[in-house]
Amino acid sequence: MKATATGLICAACSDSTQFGIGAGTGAVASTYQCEFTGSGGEYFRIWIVNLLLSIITLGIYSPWAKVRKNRYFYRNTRVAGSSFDYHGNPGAILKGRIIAVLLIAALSLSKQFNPKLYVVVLLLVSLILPWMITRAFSFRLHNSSWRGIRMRFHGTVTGAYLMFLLYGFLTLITLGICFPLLYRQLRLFLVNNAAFGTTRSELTISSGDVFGVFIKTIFMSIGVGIVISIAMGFLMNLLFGSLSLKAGRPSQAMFVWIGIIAIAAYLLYRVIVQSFFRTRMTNLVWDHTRLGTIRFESHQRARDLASIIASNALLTFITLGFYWPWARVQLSKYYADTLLVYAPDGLNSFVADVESAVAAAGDEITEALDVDFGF
Amino acid sequence: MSTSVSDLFLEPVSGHYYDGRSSRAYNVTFGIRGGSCRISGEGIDKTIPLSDIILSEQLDKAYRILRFGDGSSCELPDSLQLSVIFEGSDLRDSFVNRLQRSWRWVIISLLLLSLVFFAGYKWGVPFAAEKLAYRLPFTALSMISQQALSTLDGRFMQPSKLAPERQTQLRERFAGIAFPQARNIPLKIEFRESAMLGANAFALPDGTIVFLDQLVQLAGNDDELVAVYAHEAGHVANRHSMRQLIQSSIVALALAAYLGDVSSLAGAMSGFLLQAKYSRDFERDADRYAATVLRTNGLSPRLLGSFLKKLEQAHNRRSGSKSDDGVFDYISSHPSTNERMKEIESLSKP
Repeated sequence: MKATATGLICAACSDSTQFGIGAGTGAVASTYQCEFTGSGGEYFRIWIVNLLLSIITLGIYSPWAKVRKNRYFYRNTRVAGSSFDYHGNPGAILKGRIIAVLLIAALSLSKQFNPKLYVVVLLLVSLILPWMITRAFSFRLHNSSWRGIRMRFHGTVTGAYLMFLLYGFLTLITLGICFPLLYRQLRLFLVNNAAFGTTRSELTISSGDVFGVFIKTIFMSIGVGIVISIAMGFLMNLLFGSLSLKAGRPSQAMFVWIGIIAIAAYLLYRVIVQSFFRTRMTNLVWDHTRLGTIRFESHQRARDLASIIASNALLTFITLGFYWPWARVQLSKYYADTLLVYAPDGLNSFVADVESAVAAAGDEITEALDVDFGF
Repeated sequence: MSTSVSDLFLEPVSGHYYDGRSSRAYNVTFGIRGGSCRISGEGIDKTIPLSDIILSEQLDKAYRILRFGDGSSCELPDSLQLSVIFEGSDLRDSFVNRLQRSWRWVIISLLLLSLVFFAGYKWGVPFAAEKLAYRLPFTALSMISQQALSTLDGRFMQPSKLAPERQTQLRERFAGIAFPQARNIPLKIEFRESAMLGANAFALPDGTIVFLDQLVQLAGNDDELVAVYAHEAGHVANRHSMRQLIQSSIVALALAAYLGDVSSLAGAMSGFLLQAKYSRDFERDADRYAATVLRTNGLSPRLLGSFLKKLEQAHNRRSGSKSDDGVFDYISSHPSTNERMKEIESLSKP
């Protein structure tokens, strides 16, 4: 349950990078292509300095690093000639990270020393998880802007609890068959509570649509699994078939090679299946999202994403991680390149939500609770 | 050295102005003169003192965003031009941003980072783990050990099939072994049977040493078992398992921070490779300890080497593979038997 929920936050966060949206300079009906102007070389320099400072400060710098990273990706994402901006306060992120590190330490220590206490801590963590998800999403959107207008998140912690209790229970008693319903509800919770200025966004996906993606993914994964297994069998036979007959006994080296090939095949399988699911789901959600009169069209393709992820993973592995900044930039570029914004009434008529900004700043409790849990 | 802001000058350039209340983009020109900037166009005409500006940092292609006190803002395409103007003034880029913009500093960072990684891995982590391991109270060691033993008992090990007299005989023999230094953790001997683990023995942090039946049967004489006992006692005395646990936790954490967003599997795999070196270092350390103990008791340190050879042959028979020393040193948790025998051999000479 815990792992599932964390997976969902990540899925939601990856979308929110491009959330929000905007307007053209003229009030003419128009279509805008989302664009990303960052480059791998430039992000590499930011990444390496961030990494060094984070390590030599034993992690204390990492919230500042996160702000720099987010600013880089936001400010390089453009719609209709205007860029996004990120305003996260590193102090709030540091607070969130300290709490998260303490929770993780409590989890792993109790797991080592006291299994009974571990169950209690695990229960406690799953209890505050909905709160953390709501906070993380709220923090992210409140600190994102486009054309000087902030985004908002109106989801309540109560709403999150109800959703997880109700749909979590349903998922549990149906042994996971109803998981797509929980997934859909989480997407609805995130998108329908999000706003750009005073304009709320709206998601209309049916349970059938969501179940469709899950079922297609299952069939896909079976098919891909069979194909990869057969291909692996052929490869093994080609490499070791004659060898093992002659030598009689398999050598240790052979076992290691078989292990490496098996891991590579499994990773390839995972990348293909995940790319299929992610592209289908991202397209479905964007295509059914409205922001006022604005519509979106996402046309990601599984084979594009899979080849980007697979080649990036290979290069990152070969370079001991140093290729990562180029990989990250390439992914953002792909996400931007596949997103279109339709604005029949232009993008000039959004109004800032001044009221909830004042409310948030005036309330000291909200201020004290300004914590970010998004990793 | 700081340039006065009143000396800054910028010919008007075109950009976008946002009033902070609506998403309308105004096409404006932006110029600087006499300590303030002027924004004009499409019905906007504002003069704002430069001290009232929050300037976003320079990036290659991203627009520069200037935020004003009243919530309005400006987006200017030419990032470099502004940097040149503001260089040396209060509005120049932050120290970190200037580091990130210079390839020279980036390469220095890269070198420093490699140095920190290397030194931390080679000396920092083992040092911290050693300090920490000796500070842990005995109750913590015993809790972890009992937890581990009951897990193993449930899944991989059964009660020993050795005759009780044989067990008592071995216990008495081990109890008679003298140690060169006083031991602060008392040793406790356990016997178990395990088809899965085969001929093996291991030590837990609280001083429990577990002998598996197949290992006892493999030994030609009890002196060889004393050698194994001395080796395991070395693991206990120098708190190897605790240190290994702490070291692998630190390595796992560091890798999660570094490779975390790449892939958790890649992190786990490299963690496994990196921890193997620590484990091999501990094995060598325990071998040296065992050699001293054996000599103290009038036994030859060669006993350990010859028994290791025997163990290796037994394991190879079981897995049906031939020995492949050398290639696997780097991924193996133990040094190769040949290497260990050579080292023990050198320790045998007085």
